[in-house]
Amino acid sequence: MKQTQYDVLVIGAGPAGSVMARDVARLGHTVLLIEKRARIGYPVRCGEASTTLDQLENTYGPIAPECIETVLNGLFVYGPGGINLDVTRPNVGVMLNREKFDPWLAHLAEADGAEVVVNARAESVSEVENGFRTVSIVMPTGTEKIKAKMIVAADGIESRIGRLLGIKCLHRPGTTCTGVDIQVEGILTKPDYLTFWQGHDFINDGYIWSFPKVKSNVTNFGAGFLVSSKQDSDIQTVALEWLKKLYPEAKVKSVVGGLVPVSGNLKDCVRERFLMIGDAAHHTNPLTGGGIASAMRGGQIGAAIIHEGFMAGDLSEKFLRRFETTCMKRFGNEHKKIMKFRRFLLGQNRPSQIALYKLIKAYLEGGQRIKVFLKKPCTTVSFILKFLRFR
Amino acid sequence: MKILVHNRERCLECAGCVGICPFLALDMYGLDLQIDHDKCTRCGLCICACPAGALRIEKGKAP
Ligand SMILES: Cc1cc2nc3c(=O)[nH]c(=O)nc-3n(C[C@H](O)[C@H](O)[C@H](O)COP(=O)(O)OP(=O)(O)OC[C@H]3O[C@@H](n4cnc5c(N)ncnc54)[C@H](O)[C@@H]3O)c2cc1C
Ligand code: SF4
Ligand code: SF4
Repeated sequence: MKQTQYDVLVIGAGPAGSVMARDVARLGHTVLLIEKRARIGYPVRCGEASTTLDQLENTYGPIAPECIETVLNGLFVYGPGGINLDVTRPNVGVMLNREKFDPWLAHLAEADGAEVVVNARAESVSEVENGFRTVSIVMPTGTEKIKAKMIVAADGIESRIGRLLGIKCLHRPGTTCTGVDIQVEGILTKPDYLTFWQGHDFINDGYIWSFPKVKSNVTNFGAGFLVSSKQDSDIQTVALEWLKKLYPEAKVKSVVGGLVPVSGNLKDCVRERFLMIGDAAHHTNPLTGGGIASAMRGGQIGAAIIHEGFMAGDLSEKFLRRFETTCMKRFGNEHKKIMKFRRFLLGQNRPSQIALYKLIKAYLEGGQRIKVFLKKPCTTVSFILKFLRFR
Repeated sequence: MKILVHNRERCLECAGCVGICPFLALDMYGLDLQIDHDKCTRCGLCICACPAGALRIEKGKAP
């Protein structure tokens, strides 16, 4: 570390942490971004599908072309009872290459003045003393204590830092997904489509995916389901079985895994001179499990609010609460609705799930007309359309 | 006595178990999973969450 004291210390160099570090550095504050892994973004724990390039660039600015693998033009869902949904939507999203994307984001933070240190693990965060919190950072060379006026926990699924400060950010069964992503040689499914298998005939409390990374000629094939105490086998076994069943010829290159919070935004994620963003604050889309875009958005919102706080000379818990309400307004309320839809969809037995899929299919093919006849399920249908945009 | 056992060969190093343990009994140092056997209640939650089936409760002694 070049200094022993910073304005802002960001823990975790995922998309949330790097965007946060870049934005606060741009606003003129001294920033330290620490990452416990030796190499940022590696190994990748992700399916790498994200929202439209426009939306990403609106939050972030131009994205380096080498980080984009594929521009997506639609979605295909294999549903229960042989009911399949084919949705053509030009530019519906992109496939990222996070092995390149994550280091690129961190590098931009560095270019804007943030100090980035890898192999540095935050072990504990102290209470506020004279306007500072002290973070114990463990590195191969020993432990260092760094003071900062503001601490940001972007430590992803582990969210250990928040818990050490007594924040209830624990991931629980039923609102957390466990998933694996298997990199398979070549492109298995339509090269500009995201393909899903969902429902009682496949995995009901989750889904199977096949996402094409065209430039690398690799498919991210994976599966995820809600963590429960009742499951018979782990998701890696389940996903590999499905891969064998659907694509017996597939050549597996590597397997990564992880957990995804699908509980909707954490309501309480700030303390005096402390806030949480990204997966740590459960900012993930509760239906798709997509969390890259919302992690970045959370980082951006957080940075603006921290800057406001510095300007006002107020980084109290009360002041920082506006971070929670802003995130709620910007994406949290939508996530709440999406979660209701997830409960609805997963709660159906097979026959009614098939009926629901038929209804959605009719809606997609027949346009708006169906809305007039079916009042209630229509709210559902508009939800489906929203979630298909994969935010 | 029964303890939680970690199978390093199967582990995907995702740190998911760290995030789901209600008792903060787990931590990842580098690529090693550290189990604090005093804190672990053997509730089994991390076993359900582990994507790779790398955790198990077995007969044994805490190191
Ligand atoms: C199998 C799987 C598939 C997924 N597929 C998709 C997808 O297709 N699309 C999508 O949008 N999202 C997907 N996600 C979710 C997405 O990966 C996350 O939402 C996203 O990475 C969250 O970003 P983040 O910055 O909050 O956290 P992360 O990217 O997890 O970054 C957190 C970082 O903090 C570091 N860290 C943790 N603790 C400490 C510490 N104490 N000190 C220092 N550093 C620390 C970690 O090493 C890590 O690098 C998937 C997730 C999984 C598990
Ligand atoms: S068994 Fe329960 S207490 Fe022990 S490490 Fe796993 S989740 Fe934590
Ligand atoms: S959840 Fe399983 S695969 Fe992930 S780090 Fe823990 S033991 Fe390893």
